[in-house]
Amino acid sequence: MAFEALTGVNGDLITISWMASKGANQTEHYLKEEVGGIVFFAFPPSFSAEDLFATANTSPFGEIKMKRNQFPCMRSIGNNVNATVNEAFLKNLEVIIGPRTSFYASVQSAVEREQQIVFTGHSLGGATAILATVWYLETYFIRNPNVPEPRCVTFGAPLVGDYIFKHALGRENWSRFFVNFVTRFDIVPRIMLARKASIEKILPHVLGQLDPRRASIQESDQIITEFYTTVMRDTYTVASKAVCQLIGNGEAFLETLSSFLELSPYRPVGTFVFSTQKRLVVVNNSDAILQMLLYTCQSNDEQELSLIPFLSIRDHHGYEELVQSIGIKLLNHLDLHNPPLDGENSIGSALNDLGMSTRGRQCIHAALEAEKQRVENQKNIETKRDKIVERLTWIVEKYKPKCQTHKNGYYDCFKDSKEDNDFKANVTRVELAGIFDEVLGLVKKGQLPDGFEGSGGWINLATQYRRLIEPLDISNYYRHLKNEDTGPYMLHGRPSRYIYAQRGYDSARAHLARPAVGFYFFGPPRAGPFRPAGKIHMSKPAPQSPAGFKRVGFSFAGNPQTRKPATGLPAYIRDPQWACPLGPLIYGQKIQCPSPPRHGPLGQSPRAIGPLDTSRYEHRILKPKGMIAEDVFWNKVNDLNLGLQQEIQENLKISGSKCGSCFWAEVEELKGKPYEEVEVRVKTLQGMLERWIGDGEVDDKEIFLEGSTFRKWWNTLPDNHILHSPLYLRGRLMDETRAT
Amino acid sequence: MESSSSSLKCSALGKLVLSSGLLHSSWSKISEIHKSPYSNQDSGLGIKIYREEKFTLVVFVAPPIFTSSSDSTLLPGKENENPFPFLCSENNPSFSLHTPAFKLFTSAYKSLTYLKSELLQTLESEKPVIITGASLGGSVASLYTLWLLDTIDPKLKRPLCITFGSPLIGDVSLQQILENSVRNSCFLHVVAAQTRIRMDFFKPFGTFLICFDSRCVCIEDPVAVTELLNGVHDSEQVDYGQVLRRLDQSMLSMADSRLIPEAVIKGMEERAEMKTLRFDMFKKLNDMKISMAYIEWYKKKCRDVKIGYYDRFKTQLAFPSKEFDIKIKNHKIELNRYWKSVVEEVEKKPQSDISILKRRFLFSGNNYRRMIEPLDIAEYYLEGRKEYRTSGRSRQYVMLEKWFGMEPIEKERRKNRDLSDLLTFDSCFWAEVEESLIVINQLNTTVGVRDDAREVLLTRKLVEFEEYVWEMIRKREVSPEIFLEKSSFMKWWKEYKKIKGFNSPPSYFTEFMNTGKYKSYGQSQ
Repeated sequence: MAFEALTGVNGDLITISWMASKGANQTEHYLKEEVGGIVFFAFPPSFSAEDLFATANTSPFGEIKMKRNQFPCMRSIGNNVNATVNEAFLKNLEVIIGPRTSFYASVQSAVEREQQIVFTGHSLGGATAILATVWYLETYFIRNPNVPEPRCVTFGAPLVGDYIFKHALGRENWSRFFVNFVTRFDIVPRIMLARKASIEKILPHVLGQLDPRRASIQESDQIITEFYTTVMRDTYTVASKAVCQLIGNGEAFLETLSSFLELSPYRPVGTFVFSTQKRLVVVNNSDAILQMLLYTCQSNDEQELSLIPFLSIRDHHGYEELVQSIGIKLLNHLDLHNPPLDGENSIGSALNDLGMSTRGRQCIHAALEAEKQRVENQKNIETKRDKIVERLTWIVEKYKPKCQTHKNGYYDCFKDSKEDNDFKANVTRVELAGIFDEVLGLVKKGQLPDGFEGSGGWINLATQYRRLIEPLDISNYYRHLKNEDTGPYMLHGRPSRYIYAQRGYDSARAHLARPAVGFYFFGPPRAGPFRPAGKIHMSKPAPQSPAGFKRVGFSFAGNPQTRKPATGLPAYIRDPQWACPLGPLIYGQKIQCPSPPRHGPLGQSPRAIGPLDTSRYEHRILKPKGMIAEDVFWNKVNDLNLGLQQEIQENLKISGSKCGSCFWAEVEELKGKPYEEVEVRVKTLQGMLERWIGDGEVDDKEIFLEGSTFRKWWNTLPDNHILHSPLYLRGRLMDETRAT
Repeated sequence: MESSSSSLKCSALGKLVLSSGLLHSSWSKISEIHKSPYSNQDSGLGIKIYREEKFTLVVFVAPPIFTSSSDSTLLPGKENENPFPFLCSENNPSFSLHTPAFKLFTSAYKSLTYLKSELLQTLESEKPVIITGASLGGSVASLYTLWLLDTIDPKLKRPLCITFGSPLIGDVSLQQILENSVRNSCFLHVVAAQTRIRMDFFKPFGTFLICFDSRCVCIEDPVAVTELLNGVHDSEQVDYGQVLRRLDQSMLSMADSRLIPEAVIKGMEERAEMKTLRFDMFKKLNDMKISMAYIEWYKKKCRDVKIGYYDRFKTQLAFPSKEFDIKIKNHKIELNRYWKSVVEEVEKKPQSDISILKRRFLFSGNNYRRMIEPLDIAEYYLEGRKEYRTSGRSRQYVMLEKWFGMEPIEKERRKNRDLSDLLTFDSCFWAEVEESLIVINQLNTTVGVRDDAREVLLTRKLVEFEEYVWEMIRKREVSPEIFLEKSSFMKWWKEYKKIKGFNSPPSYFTEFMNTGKYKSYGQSQ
């Protein structure tokens, strides 16, 4: 059925969901049903105001930030902001997953039996279902490859989370699990767009009217009209602002005006199914859904207009009819690939049915166009990938080895800039900065598809870029003595493109169970054929790409078990689309590729292997621990036992020891200072070093070279310090001395 | 279906402004004052402050305008005659204001100064401020907002000035100044569509909300505003309370009538298009860094063969031989073109906006000036021209130097640092060298009768140059490259040494040169 293809749920599943949701009315916390091996968890609605706005919450929309430890994925990685959700809804979830109910145990047992779960609910129960699904995804789905995909089916649910909530679900490719049904005038999906202050007083009365257990509604209820008008006025403001932003160019007037507006942060997530008498209209685009929530309530019929407030209550009870008629209604899908929205076609008539005005259609069109533009932007960026790889390859294969022959590594060669290669490296540095700054600009303004931030390929590329080129930026910074004008590199000098790249890497790391990992590619086939399944292996260096393969980068990390350092060997894949191991993987870990590769036995020609769904793939591999990178750093520092915690934190406030690629900046800062003054920083640096080398953050082939700034500085440290420095470090420094 | 995004934008912005409720709050306070018994007795300016829960409202009340006066007062850029000197830009050093509004403004200058400090405090506390007024009161509110904006920290929320049916206050110069400033975003002028405003001398700035019967549009494009509203002012009073009520009632009905004539929309669209094509200095900054990298490299290469990049460039200009040198010339042309445009863009902005110019730009610009200006000087003197500093400098250098000087930068320079990559602070250094060489030439070519007075004058010039150089050496502000074997400066020194002879008393500088101390200048100690 076409409907299932569009929404991921079929008629039966919806019917059972609705029956369960109805049944949940009678329960306190949840209702569990098991049908055909699928487990349904339905949550009851509530019609009391404190379940819509948490009592102690003073925010204008009853919102609260999600906690990163509990929901590590629910944030914007680059911009480093956590998602916001309605506090009352979140609290309700916490009660349900808490020890007072058997919910947790029930989910656990379904997980153990690898059963598919559907979370569902009507009205506020739908809001709970959405959050329960997110909780399930974060707790089980992402950690265990055997956990089946969940589904979330809501009926007339209020909006739950903000733009970042929506963005994070999009990035993780989880939006597809959510299906929300909305009858045309239903007020509940719109309520959260209103300011708490404007509806607070009359809310209890209206909720009373919405409660199906209460008496029937009065058509002439003035409070209902007032409520409806207030909600729609605020919806109007939110939707208009959104359109201005979609088509605008960052105009300053909109910015000035915005500081006077109190706008609801909530945004639709997942797929919405709007229903009218004859049709179902399926929409996936969050911006478009927001506009529809406004424009489907318009009418040019005076009589209908006066009736809408009443309908806005009545439609909240129209889901039984909706569910029963799914099979017989016409189906339309509103997306970019469809013909113009005003044409004489089925989508045009669908919008007619929904009462959409010309303006409304233009707004939806603008929303869809904006998404199209985001996809376009990403395509544009993808075309630059080859150039980036080519430039980085040159650094690794030509520049670094050449510099190493001078016994001082590329950091110091670049600083001296005596040869043509140094000049070429400088141009490379500036060129790459241009490309990454462009990407950064788009990320900051949200002008890339949600999925971009999570794409392993880019995290990987940005990590390579950061590790290889940031030392050159630091070298350049200190060569031009910019620290004398602008202060230490870490304070004002570090470009945002590296900070964002580091966040991307840290978030990928935070997902991993074991500490020392790196980014691997499949190497070229050892005995010829491409082997996507099986053990991950690093390639042997090959002077040229094997036929049909494309050079994509290098493997960077060392092997944590054998403490073998980073190799920087080239890696190849046949086609970027097939970049199976583009995400962070644990060395030697066995991975299972999704179905396509199974078509043939291992060793078959690469041609037989289809493209992999990398997003899905990553879910199978990553194991979140919810550790925040900042915490990882401080844990490590605490392990070093350097003294009073507060003092140490003060000492390390702007230290380059927080990130391996800033190693050189820290060396430069410590270089001229008396040892006593910077003892803590020196010890932190050396404490981090071994792991950085293991991770591939710092290239140990470089730093121990005789002429390197690091080594020269190290030799100036007091004997007593050197004597007590880690064995590893002393050993390395001595080895090199012996070797030379 | 109209597919124009300009029309959609005007309509969406109009809806946003209307549904925000800001207009209603402002108007209700204005009408409250107008209705109060004592409002019309005074012929002066009335100000009332309302501290609401979400924002602070400042209402200006002025006596009604009896004549549609188009008197204007010209304000020159000088401080004492103009309360708005900070608005003047390099391109528009003066502007004119609507006399009745300006008079009312100056008459209440004292109390306005007090109000200013009070509002600044409010803004500090993150509470937004709305400044509003109807008719002439709105004009004064606009003036006051302009004045207030100068002292507001760009990090704070900007205030919003909302006027209702107010006369325009500024001429075309003010319009141009504000068009390039973020301040333009702080003005919202509400005008009923049937009203006509005289725009022969005064020009609109800010955003206009034009109210038709049941719909409104918001327009920022001043040309479109002029096209829609220009006409002879009619004195018919509009009740904006009623206008707002009508707009409100039809908010949720579907009727979408076409409000702006197609031709006006088309014009807006074209101008918006032009704006996006306009020079984008941020986008190209990175390309310029690549060009700078080339020139930096060139400088280094020249140093290796014991000739400074200044002299190498000069020689190569005369006898171009290598491709590399030609490439360098092209990079220089690119860089000059870019920075010229940047400076032109910035010059359109009010003086006080320049400090907002990102630091990155100031530093890059300064680097560019110190690196490239010597090459321009080389070209200039090669053509046999003189007096570069006073008559040959391109404007972008002058301005970049001025702006960089205005920036408070704390310098913490290590005394013993290595200067080999330093760019000479005074980018006109080589022009001074050339001038001094000319003087030496004049001294050496004296023919016929000795003219003592002339000789004294010329020698005096040489000594001045010596002092200038010594000062820079002492402060370590000059690049060690000037001491390279084949540099023009060393050529000068050899000649100067001859002229000075052994009889003149030794100076720090001559000692520095004679003892060879200069050879270790700039090395890290």
